[in-house]
Amino acid sequence: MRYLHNSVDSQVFVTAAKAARHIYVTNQLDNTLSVINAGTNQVTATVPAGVGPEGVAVTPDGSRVYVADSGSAEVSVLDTSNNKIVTTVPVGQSPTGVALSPDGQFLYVANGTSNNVSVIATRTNQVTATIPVGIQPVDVAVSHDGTTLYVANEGSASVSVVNTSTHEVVRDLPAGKYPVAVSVTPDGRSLYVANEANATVSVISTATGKIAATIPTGDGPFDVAVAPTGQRAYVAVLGPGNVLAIDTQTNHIAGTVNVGPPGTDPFDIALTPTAVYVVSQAAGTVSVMDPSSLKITATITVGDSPYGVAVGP
Amino acid sequence: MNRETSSVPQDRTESGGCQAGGFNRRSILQGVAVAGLAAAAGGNLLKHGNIAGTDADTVGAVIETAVSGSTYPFYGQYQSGIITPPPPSRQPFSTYAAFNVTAANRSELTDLFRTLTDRVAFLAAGGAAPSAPAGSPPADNGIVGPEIQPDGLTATVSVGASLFDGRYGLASLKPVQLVTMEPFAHDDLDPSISDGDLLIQLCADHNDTAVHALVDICDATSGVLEPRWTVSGFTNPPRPVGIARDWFGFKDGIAQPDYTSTAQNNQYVWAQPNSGEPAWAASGTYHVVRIIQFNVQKWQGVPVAEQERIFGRQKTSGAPTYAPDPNANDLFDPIYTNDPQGLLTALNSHIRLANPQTPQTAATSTILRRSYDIEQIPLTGGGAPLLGHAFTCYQRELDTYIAMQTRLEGELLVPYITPRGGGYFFALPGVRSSQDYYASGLLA
Repeated sequence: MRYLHNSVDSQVFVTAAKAARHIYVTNQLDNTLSVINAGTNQVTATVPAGVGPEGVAVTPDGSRVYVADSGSAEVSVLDTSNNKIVTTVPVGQSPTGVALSPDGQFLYVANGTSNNVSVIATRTNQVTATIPVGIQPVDVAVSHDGTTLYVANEGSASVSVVNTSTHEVVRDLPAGKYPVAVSVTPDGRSLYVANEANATVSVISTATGKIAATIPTGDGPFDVAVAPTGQRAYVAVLGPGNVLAIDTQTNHIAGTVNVGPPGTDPFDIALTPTAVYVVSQAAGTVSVMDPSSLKITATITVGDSPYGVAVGP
Repeated sequence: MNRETSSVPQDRTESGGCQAGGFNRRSILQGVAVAGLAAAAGGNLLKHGNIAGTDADTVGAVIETAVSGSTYPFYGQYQSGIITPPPPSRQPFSTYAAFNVTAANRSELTDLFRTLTDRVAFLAAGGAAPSAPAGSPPADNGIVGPEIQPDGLTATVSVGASLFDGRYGLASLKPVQLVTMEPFAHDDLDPSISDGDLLIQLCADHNDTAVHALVDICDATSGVLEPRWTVSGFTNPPRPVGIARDWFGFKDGIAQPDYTSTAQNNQYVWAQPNSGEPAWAASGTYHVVRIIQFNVQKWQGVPVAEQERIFGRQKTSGAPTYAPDPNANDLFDPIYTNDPQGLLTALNSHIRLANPQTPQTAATSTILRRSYDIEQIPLTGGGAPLLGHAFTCYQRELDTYIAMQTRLEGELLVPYITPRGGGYFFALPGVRSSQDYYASGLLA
């Protein structure tokens, strides 16, 4: 899970009840960002971003949205008050997954072909560190206490564990083949890693560094996101077009929701306590799912080949 | 590769047409005009007498009860053979024939297209072979017997850029992107099997039906169409199921737009009105044929894992190398966005360069393919089998194909293939009714 679920807490939700929450979706092939009003499920703005926008994250206060522009090797920074890009920050090559620290002070950017992670200080929008990691890093997740960064390295079939104070890799954890997404439980004890090329989710114990469970998903698990409560993890499986709900107590699949036929390509997931947002790249849609009933309650058409989704406060 | 031209021997051109015969240009065109319009005099010269005095709609109605086998409607907004379901399940045979047009003037050119219209309307519907007066040569070549079956025949008639030179006053009406094929980086084009004023692609359920149609058409147009090159193609049967394999042993033609979707066809295949194309071109499409020789001996020396890396597909299943399961479906969608270094799907693999899934290439990554295998086994010793395919694709913009093929100049497959010929053409809009004819909008 690459986005801002870790900033979601009850305090934020009290605030959010007053103003409408916004959902942000990157559209990889038309170089835009769709802004969705979560109250109405309507697209309220479509903002030009950089080239090939992929990962996206929203600051905890909702004032800024960060977009990784994979084709132009930069991060676009959106001011949500007027939906304008206020600056772009050069990073490494093929930036894709992004995550903010829980306090919103730092953005971590996985640079897929540079084999490193850029750290951007959000106060200044400057790169303050570049951390060498494994081969082809594509996703990042930050522990809820902000002390540890996890980086999924596709090419090295591993997760790098980074100390966010020293900006050093302190450990490499083995994952499955081609780990493409990583999410951490609120208690910090477990990582959920989607292994695209062997069609599983690995559950890795952060204490032992060992794989505690392996969950078959079907072809092409592409994103995994642990819910704010920690009780469920949701997996986007793009081959069959499914979203899986995993019970994190038993690590069994508690539900399988089909969002469309093969070729729909569910790609990315973002969560609030009351909704699961699923981006489907080939269908060009965002499906809104009720996490209690596991029913799709709305489908929103966005731009060309939507890639990433993030939820505001 | 000149051996590819064997379907209709080049030496036939010495007599001004592919079917020698004693008919001069004038008489043929007169006869056809009668057949098409039931108007002008000259019925005695009509070679294909069974449709004299009728219109083609009537012929179609008669035929329907007389023949069996797959029939594709001839009249319509679009030509058939383009979004017609592709082989191998149907139409596993194809004959391509490119011609120089030798019509003396625009009037004769119009007559030529009327002739073609009449012949294809008849051949696509089928019917009894026409009779000829006693003592005359037979009206039909007899290749498929006295009762001509439609046998899944489609003809797709396309024009090359050279038709729009000064000869017929058509220069201002050329489809905007239509050009004569320029060699790509690794092409070794042979002019004798390249280009042409006109291309007819005949697809059918059996080879004799396609050949019969070609000989018929050549016969009817002798004197105004001069054969330039032909290629005979076919599709191997599924081994064991699904998409057929090419001579490299890989399934070819997997990634396609949905030709059953009107929206996709309008987006990717058909030239649209008010799109910058001349008005007559709407509902036509750019038609690309590339005669490509495969170096199968060299390919045989490549380990399968490397072959798979070159294509980006698994050899057995056809699924992308991206797919985790060796038995994955060939339609499984490869995704490259999370593979910036090409670890799962090499950056210069065939499928990834054809469609890199990037914003910069999104507009130039979808074409409708309909390729056929070609082979020529030498009759005498000392030569290796000449294997390849007649790569064929349709697209709304020729620039889409050119951009895609330009990307493929850098593909890993380059050492194993040699493009030898073919050309760029524009498939005409369909013939809408028995009153209409090929290129009527162009020539109006």
